[in-house]
Amino acid sequence: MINMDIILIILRGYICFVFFKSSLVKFKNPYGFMIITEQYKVFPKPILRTIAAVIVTIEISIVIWILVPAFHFLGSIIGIMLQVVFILLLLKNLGRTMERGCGCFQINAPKRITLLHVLFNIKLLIIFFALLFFK
Amino acid sequence: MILILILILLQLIVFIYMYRKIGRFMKFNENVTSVKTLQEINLSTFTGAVLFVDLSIDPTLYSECKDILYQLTNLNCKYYVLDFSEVLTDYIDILSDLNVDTLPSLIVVNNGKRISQFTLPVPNIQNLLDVLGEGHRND
Repeated sequence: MINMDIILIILRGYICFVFFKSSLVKFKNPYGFMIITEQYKVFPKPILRTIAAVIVTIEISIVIWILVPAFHFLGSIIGIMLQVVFILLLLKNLGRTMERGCGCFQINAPKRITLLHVLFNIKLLIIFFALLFFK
Repeated sequence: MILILILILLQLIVFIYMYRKIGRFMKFNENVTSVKTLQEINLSTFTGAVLFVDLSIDPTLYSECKDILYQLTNLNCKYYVLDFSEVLTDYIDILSDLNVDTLPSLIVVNNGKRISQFTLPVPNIQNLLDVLGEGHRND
C-alpha cells in the first residue's frame, strides 16, 4: 500500500509546480494579465489593476504556503477559494475565444475557453481539498 | 511569528511591485493612441515606418518606442504602430512579406516594400531617421 504522506508530497509538489509556472508568466507580464482579467468582463475597470496584482500575489503566496508545513492549512483554504473564483470565471466565459488568452499559462495568444480548462481547474480544486483534509 | 511577518512582508513587496509595474504600462498605453490594427491600414501602398510592438512588453522597451514615436512625430514622418500579437496570430504572412525576423522591431517601408529593419532598442536613432529620409516624410 502506498504511503499517504508520499501521495500528499507529490500533490503538494504538483500544486507548487503548476502555481509557480502560472505565476511566473503573470509576474513577467502583469499588464498582459490585467488585460486578460479585463476580457473576462466581471471586474469593474477601476479595480482591475488591483485585482490582477492581488491574483498574482496570491498565486506566488500559495507556492510558499504549500511548501512551508506551518501554512499548509492556509494555503489549501486560499487555494480552494482561488480555484472556485477561476472555475466560475471560466464557466461564465465558456466557449468564448479570448483574444489575449485565458491567463492560464500563456499570455498574448488567443485561446478558446473549453470544458478542458474548467476540468483542469476542478482537478486543482480537488487536490486542494485533498491537501486540506488529509494533512 | 517571524516567519509570518517575513511572508506578509514578502507578499506586500510582490503586490506593490506588480501594482506599480501595471501602472507604468497603463501610463504608456494612455500616451500611445496611434496603435492600429492591420485592417485599418493598407501596407501595400504605405511609405513610412511600421513599428511592431507587443502591448505587454518590458517598460524599458516601451520608453524606447515612445522616444522613437516622439521623434518621428516631430519630423512629421508617417508611421504606424501595430500590435504584433495580432500580426502573429492572424496576419503572420505580413512578417514574411516584409522579411521581419525579430520582434519587436521597426520596419521602414517604401510603397509597401521593406527598405530596412531596426531592432528595438534602436542603437542609432539618427541612422533610422536618415533611412526614413526626406522622401518618406508626410508632408
